[in-house]
Amino acid sequence: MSVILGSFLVSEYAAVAVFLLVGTGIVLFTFGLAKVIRPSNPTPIKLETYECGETPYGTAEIQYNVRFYIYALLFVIFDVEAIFLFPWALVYRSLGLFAFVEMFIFIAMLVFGLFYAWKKGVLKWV
Amino acid sequence: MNLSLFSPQIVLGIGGTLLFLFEAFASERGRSFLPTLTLLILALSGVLMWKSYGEIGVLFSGMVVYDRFFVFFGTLVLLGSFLAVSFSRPSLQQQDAFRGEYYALVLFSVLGMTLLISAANMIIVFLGMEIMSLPLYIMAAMRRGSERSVEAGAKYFLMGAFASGFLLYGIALVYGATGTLSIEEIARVWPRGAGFSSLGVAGMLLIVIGLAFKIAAVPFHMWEPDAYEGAPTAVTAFFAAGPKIAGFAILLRLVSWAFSFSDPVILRIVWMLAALSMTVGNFLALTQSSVKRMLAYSGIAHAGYALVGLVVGGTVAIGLVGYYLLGYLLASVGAFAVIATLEKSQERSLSFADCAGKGKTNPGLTLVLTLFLISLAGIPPVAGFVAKFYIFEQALQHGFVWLVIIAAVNSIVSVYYYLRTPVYAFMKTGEETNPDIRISAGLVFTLVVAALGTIIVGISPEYFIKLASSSVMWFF
Repeated sequence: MSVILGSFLVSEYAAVAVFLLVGTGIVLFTFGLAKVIRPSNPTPIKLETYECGETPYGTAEIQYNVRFYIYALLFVIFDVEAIFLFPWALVYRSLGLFAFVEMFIFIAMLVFGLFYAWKKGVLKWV
Repeated sequence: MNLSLFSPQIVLGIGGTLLFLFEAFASERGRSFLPTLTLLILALSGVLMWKSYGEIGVLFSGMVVYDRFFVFFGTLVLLGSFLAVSFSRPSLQQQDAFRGEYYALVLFSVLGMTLLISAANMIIVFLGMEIMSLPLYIMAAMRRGSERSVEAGAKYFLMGAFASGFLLYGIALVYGATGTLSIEEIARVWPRGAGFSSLGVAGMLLIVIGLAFKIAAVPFHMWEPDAYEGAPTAVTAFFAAGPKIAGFAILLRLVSWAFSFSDPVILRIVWMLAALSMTVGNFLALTQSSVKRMLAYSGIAHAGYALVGLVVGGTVAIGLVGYYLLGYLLASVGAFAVIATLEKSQERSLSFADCAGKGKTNPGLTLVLTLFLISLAGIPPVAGFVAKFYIFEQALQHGFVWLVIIAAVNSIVSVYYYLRTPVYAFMKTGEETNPDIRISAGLVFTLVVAALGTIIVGISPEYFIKLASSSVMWFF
């Protein structure tokens, strides 16, 4: 059994390796080609870091306020929710009412969590 | 699918969620009802668990199973948590660790344990393990101001995460060897070669190691003394009651059902785990000066004794492990309850010297503590003795003479440190008395149930042993 399994695994990984090589090759080729054919005329404004339209100042290597971790946590929670919602929405039609109710139970749990965080003053900037 | 067979878990899950909300919105006065609400939810879950006793049901397309095994071990977990929660409020308040979240976390953790015990699929094994463990890490660090408590939480978390890694890797390898995650399917494939492929053996070993962390068997025990000592004592009682039993339950289910006993590797590994746990646990307990730490090491040793039953295998011996855990659960939760009451300072845990003279000032408490320690030491006629005796007898009958010799020597060694507390309490005089020892109704309940249980389970073992063996009958 393990022998069959072994050769099976090797052929699967070969596909991954080919994919890896081709992927790297395409990226290198397009970037290389772009570098060869594009005009190069750098100005200080062009080289500035892009920060969604704001004028950047200072360096990026600063200490962030520890309070941000709460937002990071809450963000993760709702990110996970979104991850579950997408496949649910895709196959929703074939699953019917059961999936509908189940997803609402899932969302209700997260809402309870948000209620709890809210009541505990997590959403307030102290 | 009969969803009512899953209702014990559903009740715990909904209860935990609602308790979190209740805790956030309730007033200070409302919060004082949290322990009572928790007890009610635990009791309700227990009643629902017993409602369909005898039925066998497979739920959620083979993910979860309802059987006698689940009812027996689920009841042990619920009973232990019930006793640990019952005395928790005054004890936690005294240690400045009373937070409403504790009770919701207890319910979530118990939900994880029941899920773990009822798991019929490796995914649920992992999921149950995580749901059980994550609240435990938070509980260990409940005394946020205390360095030791936070250290306990951090250590528990790191070692627990480590164990989860082992478990998950093992599950992946077993999946590679058998092509399935369902425990029943693994049981079918295992004897036909999958169990003897190197992939399968490696996976099985990693799973056993992951579970050995959870039951704190040597050499995977390092976290236990620190976690037990650093956590508030009421929480320690919960640690001794819940996670250990649940870990044992899933270990029994996996080893005796999925990985068939014919496998010599697993036999040798569990043999070694048992011998090491007994010896190391007992000899390290000898050198402790803190009662709580001594009991933590004794918990390691008891995991070793119970593993002897797993080495022997078969309906009788595996059933006896369940019976053994029942006796251990009652005695250890009771002992931790007494220690929680006798403790005075927050930072230093109760030492043997602190117990001096307690026999005069608190005769009732010390007497029940002595009863629990006698049961843990395995002196007749209480539960601990009977359980140990039967397990050793089974091991002898099946030819594990060396293991029994190691176990018997260890039992004798352990008597020394168990009886040290009563000796200090009754035969030495203390320099000061501790006036603010409060005896709450919940504490009385815990102590009475644990003490009566220890005696009854010891004096008439037939009923309990029959219950335990009938719960594991269908694995064989």
